[in-house]
Amino acid sequence: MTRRQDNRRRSALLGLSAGGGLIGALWWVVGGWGPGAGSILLFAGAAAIAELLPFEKARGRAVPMSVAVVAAFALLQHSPVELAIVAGVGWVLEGLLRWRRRQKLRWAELLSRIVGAWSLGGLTALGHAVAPVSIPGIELELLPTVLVVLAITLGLPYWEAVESTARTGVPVRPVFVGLVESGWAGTVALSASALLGALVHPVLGAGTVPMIVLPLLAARVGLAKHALVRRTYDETVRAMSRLPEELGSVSRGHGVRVGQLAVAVARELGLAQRDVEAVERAAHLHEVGRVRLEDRDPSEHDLALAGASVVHEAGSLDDVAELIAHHRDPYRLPHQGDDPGVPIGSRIVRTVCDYDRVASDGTPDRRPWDGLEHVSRGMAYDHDPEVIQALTRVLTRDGII
Amino acid sequence: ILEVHPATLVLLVVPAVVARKGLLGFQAQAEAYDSLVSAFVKVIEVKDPYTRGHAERVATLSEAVAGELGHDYETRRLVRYAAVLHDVGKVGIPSAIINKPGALDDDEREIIKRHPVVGAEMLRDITFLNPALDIVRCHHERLDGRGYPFGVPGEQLSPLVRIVTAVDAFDAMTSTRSYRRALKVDEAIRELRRHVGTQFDGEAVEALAVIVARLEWKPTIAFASADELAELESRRRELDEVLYPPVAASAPEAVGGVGA
Repeated sequence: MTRRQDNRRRSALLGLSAGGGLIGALWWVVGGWGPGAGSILLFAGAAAIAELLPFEKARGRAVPMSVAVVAAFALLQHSPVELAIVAGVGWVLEGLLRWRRRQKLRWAELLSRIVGAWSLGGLTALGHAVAPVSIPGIELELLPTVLVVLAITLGLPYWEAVESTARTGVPVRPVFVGLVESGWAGTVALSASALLGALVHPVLGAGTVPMIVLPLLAARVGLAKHALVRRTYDETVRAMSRLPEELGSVSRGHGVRVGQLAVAVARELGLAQRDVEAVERAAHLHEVGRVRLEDRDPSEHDLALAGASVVHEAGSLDDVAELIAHHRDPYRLPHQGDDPGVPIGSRIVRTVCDYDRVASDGTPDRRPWDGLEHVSRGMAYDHDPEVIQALTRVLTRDGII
Repeated sequence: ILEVHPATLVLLVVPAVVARKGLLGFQAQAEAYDSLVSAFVKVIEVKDPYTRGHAERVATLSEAVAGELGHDYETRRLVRYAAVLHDVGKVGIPSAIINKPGALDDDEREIIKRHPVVGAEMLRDITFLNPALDIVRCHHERLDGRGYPFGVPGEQLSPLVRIVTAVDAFDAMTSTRSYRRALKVDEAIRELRRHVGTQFDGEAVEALAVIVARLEWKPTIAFASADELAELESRRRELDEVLYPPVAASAPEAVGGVGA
């Protein structure tokens, strides 16, 4: 019911901002309000519409579509005050929606909107000052255009990565690369629409709004569908981690806990986003072999192989099956060097799994230490020292030890 | 408008290409999701081979019945996935109970009757299934409030739950069990109709009757060797009596009690 109310409010606000845009368009046509005012209102309306319809991603924060509107406005070389108004209005309208749901207004977000708009404006001004060269045949200048596109496609994910680093302490680089990998389609669409808006605005006037927003809406439909099914996929993998737990041989929540911790360790070790995801899924599913070998008393090696075969049958998870298949193998054998056949992902899952088995089963204040001691004792063959070090750093940072 | 530079066309195409990329990715991921869900379900079917294909059949019929009752596309999809996963809680029933020859004691019966709750608990993280979790939790409840695990009164059972409850019982009756032959489709529908109001929802049952007629549904008569059937005879009857009281278990006697 609340969802329906939300939707109704959302459409009301959409109508309202579209109306604002329309009034802006009228002003634009009549031209009675000076050169700036109509344009500002037009873009603010467009920003409001865009703000209400963020680009959903499977992981990480949704990208506000208003970026495209604000960037177009910045490319038209408007003043900082005008930029702040355009960026702020959309946010305020969306904030009203939040406020009615009794959620806290996030002022930091308003600030980041305005600072973001100013950065885009600043880049445009900088580009203009350094090299006022137009792209041949087009009204746009070359350097500002390039700078704005870079800011959207690389700057935006970089900022999100820095923010997440500040929050979680994970190194910036792998997070940044992951965000670019998973989000480039969206940011490219945003850049294209921004350029389009700036390009057609002098000619089309009010027609700029649909030119920016409609193609973006189309892109959004495709990306949102994909993001939703990806998220559901991940959630289902997490639900599957409960299969062995229901049998009673694995403690409750083991899969989810190992998943969280393994992701943190994988990030700490600087794994690429794709590999981090594989580690997470492997961590969720590493015990699933137990449902196949329930009645017997299987060796750990057989369990790993049974788990890998279950996961293999799920299709398109072969990399995860590989990690599970090896997750009980020693990382080196006596009198031999490091075994390259045991992937780093498998080592992470094994160490975190063994840690959690002990750490989730002891007296509360000793648990994490007991867990660490347990895996440290296996450092000779079973647990890779690098993984243990990373695990220790993660636990220290999170204040667990 | 004619003065707009050709470059605008390129810029217009980019979002369209991105949309296409998203939709293609969606398609591939949706297929991957379906095989993930079948792997999930298969874990249960390996454990209890007698239910092989049950989840898929219940999902197909429930989706069709939901369509017949006028539910929209999103709801039908939701019903499909909730129906295919409705028995995942059975993983919590130890194989020792499933394979136990002879009578089940009260504790064992309780464990079996917990499977809807266990299933709902396992699936609670799947956001998009949340509106349909009741399908998993209540698929053995009855309209007269005498079902399990909670004995929820009928007015609290949503239309979607009522669909899957009827379809689940229908498929149990129309699949061969070791101790009896599968009921014919019209026998099973008659059996469902007999319990409309106490156990099943009339609308759901009538819609199901229309669907099975339209699809020319056939009873499922696929099972392993005759030896295996004979060996499993006693324990299957016990299990079914707990899982599907009284229709699925008592129905064969009512219709004539034909042995396998």
